[in-house]
Amino acid sequence: MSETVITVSNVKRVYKTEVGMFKKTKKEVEALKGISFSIHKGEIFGLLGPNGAGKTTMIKLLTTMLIPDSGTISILGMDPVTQHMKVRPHINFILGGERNLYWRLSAYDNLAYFADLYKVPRQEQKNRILELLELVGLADVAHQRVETFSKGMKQRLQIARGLINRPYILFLDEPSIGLDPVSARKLRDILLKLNEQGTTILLTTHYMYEADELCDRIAFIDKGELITVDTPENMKRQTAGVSIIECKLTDVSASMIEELSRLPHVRHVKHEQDEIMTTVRLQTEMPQAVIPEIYKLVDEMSISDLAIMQPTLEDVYVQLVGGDAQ
Amino acid sequence: MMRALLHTVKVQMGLSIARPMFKFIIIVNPLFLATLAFFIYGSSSPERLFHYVVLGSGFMALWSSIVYSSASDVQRERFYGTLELLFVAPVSFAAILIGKIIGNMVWGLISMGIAFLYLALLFRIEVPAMQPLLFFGSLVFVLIAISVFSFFLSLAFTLSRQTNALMNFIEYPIYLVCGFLFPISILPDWVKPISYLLPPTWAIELLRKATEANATFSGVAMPLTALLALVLIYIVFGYFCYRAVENKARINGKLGVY
Repeated sequence: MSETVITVSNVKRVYKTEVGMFKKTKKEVEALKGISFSIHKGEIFGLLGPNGAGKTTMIKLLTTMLIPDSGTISILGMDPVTQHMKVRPHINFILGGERNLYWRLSAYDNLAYFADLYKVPRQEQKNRILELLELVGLADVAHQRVETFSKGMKQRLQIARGLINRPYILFLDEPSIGLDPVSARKLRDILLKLNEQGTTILLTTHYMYEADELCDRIAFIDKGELITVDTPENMKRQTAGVSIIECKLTDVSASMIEELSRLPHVRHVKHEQDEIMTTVRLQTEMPQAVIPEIYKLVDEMSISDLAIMQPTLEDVYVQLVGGDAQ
Repeated sequence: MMRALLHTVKVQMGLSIARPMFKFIIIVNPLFLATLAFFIYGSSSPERLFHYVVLGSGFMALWSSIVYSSASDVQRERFYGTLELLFVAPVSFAAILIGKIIGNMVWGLISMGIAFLYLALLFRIEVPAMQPLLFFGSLVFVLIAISVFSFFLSLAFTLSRQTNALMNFIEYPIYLVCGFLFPISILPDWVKPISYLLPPTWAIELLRKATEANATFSGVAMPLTALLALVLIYIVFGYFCYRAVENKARINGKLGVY
């Protein structure tokens, strides 16, 4: 078995806030309720869950930004609570979105500054920065101010910044959020390339197809609790014998979705609406029995497409966590 | 660590001056402050003019640069999402804060210089005869003292999400309480102990004593000793406050919240 680089044991974290100006009331939010897992060297490990599940809190704990209330964490054999200054040179992290960069500096100057903050020797800096800019496809705009960059370019520059110290472990918190499909594709390619070079990666994401494509193992967390940890393949096997009926409807009401979910043999219903139509995904073990019932409920004219499909990771997520996944 | 500190100075200076508001504070604001001070003391002796107009308005310009930049830069880093990155970098966060303070200090000195040139050229204020070694030695020490004091402020700005309010709240009172424009002897008695506990009070007093006619080392001994003692106290408290702030930031987890 490969070497374990991160061990998280029964970690709990509560956020305390005060509300009110004169009569203050204390409010506590349990972000993590005793989570345990481990990550092996060279793995891409996905942390998935709905908003407020505790993913970002977990990343902050692992990157020494936060201290847990109880439980232990080990990163490369070190305790990030007491040995944070020793842990930091070996890790780096990337947060999603357009922030986390100096927009008034050029891409090169951003990386040069962080190279000094991460104590990269001066004689190595220039080559490393140029290599990283090449890797993320920003070499030709190296001396352009970041404020002129598109969102995708800023995300890629963040990747370069996160790699400036050649970290053993890279943490990414929703790195592809808001990216167009081409930029998201580029980002996934970069992460796979890094992983091939031996970087251990922990990422959080809402996008199931991204996790399915990238991750060796995935942990689902919800409301601060770990639901399951396994490979995407094993997770999908949990839905063996289950099919997905995906129908695209042009005219559907909330009550109709409710009625669809009450149909016999339907285990779960998930729907997504865009400007033109609603895509409804029904999990069932008996698709042939469910399809006629759909036609009875929904006006035939409003069904623009209907297909029986194999479950994806998203369907496993919906089954385990519930609610709508993106 | 030194490379990171010096690079922070460079980045800080570049980012600051790229902002139109900061340009105004560094270049235009000292002219207003100097004019105001000159109108108050216009008919005084050359020495008094130098002490309260040149040094007074120069210190106000220095202080504005430090307080505006130190406060708003921490808030800006928070807004950019870079505060968390700086905080978890392998270089000590203290070194980054000190780098920022030095960057602001350099701009503040430039601002002081602008105020001085403006007064010398337009209002023909004369520079009294002084001992260069005593004056520049005092000036270096004063800058160190102001840096230590600024470090304290930046710690408060790091934890608080109300940095803009704090910044506006402390700018003008420091002008008055520390005697930049008026001697603190005219302040009410209950304010004076506060003045004596603030390094800028002794810093400007030290420079005034160092530029008096026939200034001697024994003449500057009192403000120098007081400032030295205060700086040492602030360094010790600053160290413990820094540890506490570092710990609290990791407990609260709100560095990135703005």
